[in-house]
Amino acid sequence: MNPYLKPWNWMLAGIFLLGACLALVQFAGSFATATIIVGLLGFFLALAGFSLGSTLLTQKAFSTFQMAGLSLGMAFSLFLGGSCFSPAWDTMSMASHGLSLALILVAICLVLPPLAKKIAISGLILFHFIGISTAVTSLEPPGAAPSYIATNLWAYCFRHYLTFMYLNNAYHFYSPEPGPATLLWFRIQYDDASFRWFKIPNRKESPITMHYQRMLSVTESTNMAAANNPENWEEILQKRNLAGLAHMPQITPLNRTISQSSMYREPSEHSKRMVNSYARYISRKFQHPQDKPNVNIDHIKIYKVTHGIITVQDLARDYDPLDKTMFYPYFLGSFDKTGKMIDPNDPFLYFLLPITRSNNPNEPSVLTDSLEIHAGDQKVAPTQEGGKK
Amino acid sequence: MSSFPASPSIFERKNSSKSVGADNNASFSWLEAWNTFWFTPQDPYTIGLMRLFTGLLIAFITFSYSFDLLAFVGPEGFLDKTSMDELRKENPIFITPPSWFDGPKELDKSVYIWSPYIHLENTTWIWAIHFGVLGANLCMAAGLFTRMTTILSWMGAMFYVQRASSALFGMDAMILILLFYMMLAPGWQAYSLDRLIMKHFKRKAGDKDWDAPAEPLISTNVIARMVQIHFCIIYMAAATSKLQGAAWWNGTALWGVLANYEFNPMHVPAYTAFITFLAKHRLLWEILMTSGCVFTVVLETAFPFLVWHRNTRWLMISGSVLLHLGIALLMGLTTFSLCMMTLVLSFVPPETIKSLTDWLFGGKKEPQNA
Repeated sequence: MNPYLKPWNWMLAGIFLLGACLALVQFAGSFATATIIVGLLGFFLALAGFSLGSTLLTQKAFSTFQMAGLSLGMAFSLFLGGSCFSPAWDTMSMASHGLSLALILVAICLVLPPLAKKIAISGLILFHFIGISTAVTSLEPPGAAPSYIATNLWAYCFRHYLTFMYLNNAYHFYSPEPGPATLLWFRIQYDDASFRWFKIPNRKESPITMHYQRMLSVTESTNMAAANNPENWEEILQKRNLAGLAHMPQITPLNRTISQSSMYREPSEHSKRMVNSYARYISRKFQHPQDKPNVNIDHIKIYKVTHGIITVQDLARDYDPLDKTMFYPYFLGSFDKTGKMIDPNDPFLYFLLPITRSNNPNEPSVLTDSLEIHAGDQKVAPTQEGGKK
Repeated sequence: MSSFPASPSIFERKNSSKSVGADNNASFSWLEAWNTFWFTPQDPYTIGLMRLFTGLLIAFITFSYSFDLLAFVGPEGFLDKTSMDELRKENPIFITPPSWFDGPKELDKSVYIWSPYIHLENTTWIWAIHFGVLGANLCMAAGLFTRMTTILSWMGAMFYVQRASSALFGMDAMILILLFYMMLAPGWQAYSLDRLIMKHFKRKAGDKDWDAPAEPLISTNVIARMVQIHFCIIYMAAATSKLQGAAWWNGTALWGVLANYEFNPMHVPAYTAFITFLAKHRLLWEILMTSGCVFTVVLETAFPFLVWHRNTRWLMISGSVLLHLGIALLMGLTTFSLCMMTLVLSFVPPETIKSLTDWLFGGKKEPQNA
């Protein structure tokens, strides 16, 4: 056989190089260029050997026992490779060792007699699909606790496998109902009193649709609600309304015709972390105003904005889906450059800042944009609109 | 060419075994059905074409990161290193204890996520890995060093989804499913450069059978079946979860999709004119919205059952293609829809794929496998 088609040659070369990489790590450290190159080369050679073996196996030019040996060789290569990583690279070390265990399982399956092999494969298939089913069923249904059995099976038996392989999706697309999109608006305030807005997602700034859709996911990650309502709800609502009245110009108070869940949306801990991280990202991206390199960021106000879905009746009346009143902003806090919230006791925190239009047909309309007032863009009380209602 | 195991339905198979007297032992017939379902060799054309499409899709998805790579996977991106460390080390998982009277308890704090992008701070290396992954994706699509490049493509895709976890959507889950199965399948056996290279070597070596068709393999069938079952689970989960929502029952859910400015092409005047026209004609609107909801829910509910029957399989496949075509056109989720269509391809028998590609590209008829 052509020596290039001998999988063991590739595998042994790979193992040798990975062994050399491990030795180099002792002297040069994990991240010396030579170490990385030798390690990567070793991994690719071992993988080439493994892949070639599996191809030849389907051609019946290679026995299952030889393939089992190659699988063990690949498992050993991954184990060596995983050991080359420094402790700081713990996720890659964990991945290498995890995949190494999977390959040992493959090797065992390969050497089993035909019936036992079928039983083993059937067992693995069942494990795989039962696991996926637990991911589907362990999600909380609306207003109820999730299945006890499904959540426990998921947590104790399948979680590790499913998250490791990214098979943990519940596939609940557009359920229970399609909801509105979440946007993030950042108001970056500089030391010299200048400011700029940065809004995501933005179709015009996304070079391709996929980028735009990813930005929609970025904003959606801040939209997970906290599990519990605040215990002192009446108190914080009153505080928010009083602060609104004291604000110049005034910010529309929230009345009880609006549901609590529409007035106040505290994010989950996960979403709060996302917001902190995005604040840091924005502060790095827009560190200085474009023409003033010496001016720094003072703070960033972040608003989560729900873009409501226009009702069929409103569209039939030719209302604009981009009308300002279609947007429902919630204040997520003021952040410093390090992503730390400046005032966790801000009375407007997580509250709706309504954008409303007066609805009296006998008078010219007045648009009250609490977001602009809160952000500081609008310094005077709203006046009559010239445009259509 | 061997027949596709899914062609006669599994139920017909079971009945036929009963007719020859196997019904004395019901458990045996179930085992036989299980054995036939999973362990009958299958021709490689369906899996080969799925590999090709998956390769093209993942190449595009990887390429799409190029426009803003460092914002998604860079050390100072949307999710910076501090956030990533918090996410993977301080993400508590709560579990309900066996007692009725105790509250949820914390089981674990760490999540099994892995990616070099979590650790890399050098942007040159980030770009190098990115282009390396893109190269592997293209080789996978072409079927060059298929097994190796498919494994590398799967690993590469994992690097992104595990790192850019806040920028993911349904499409990422679907492409990972495809890659997971393609990594395990012998996808090089059809529509690949590897196959051509293998033929070339065989001819050069004087092998008389150099042009023989690829052998049907059990592993091809196992993977095709796994994709099929997974697809049915996806549809079943999507359908049953939709049935929890009032809007899917009263037929208005589709409006939430069609009139959502951020998701669909409402910025295109023709599209807005179309839905405004619908809105102004209530009866037409009601008919379209209700039929759209009924079509979606009925298809997603019925698919996992009816796709296994020969008589209804094509109806289900066509319905699924139609649904995802609609999602692509009306919601702009083109890549997601293409992923779903590639998944549903697993239900198309290999001989149909072979006939179709022969007809399209003028391939010669290969002799049938025994």
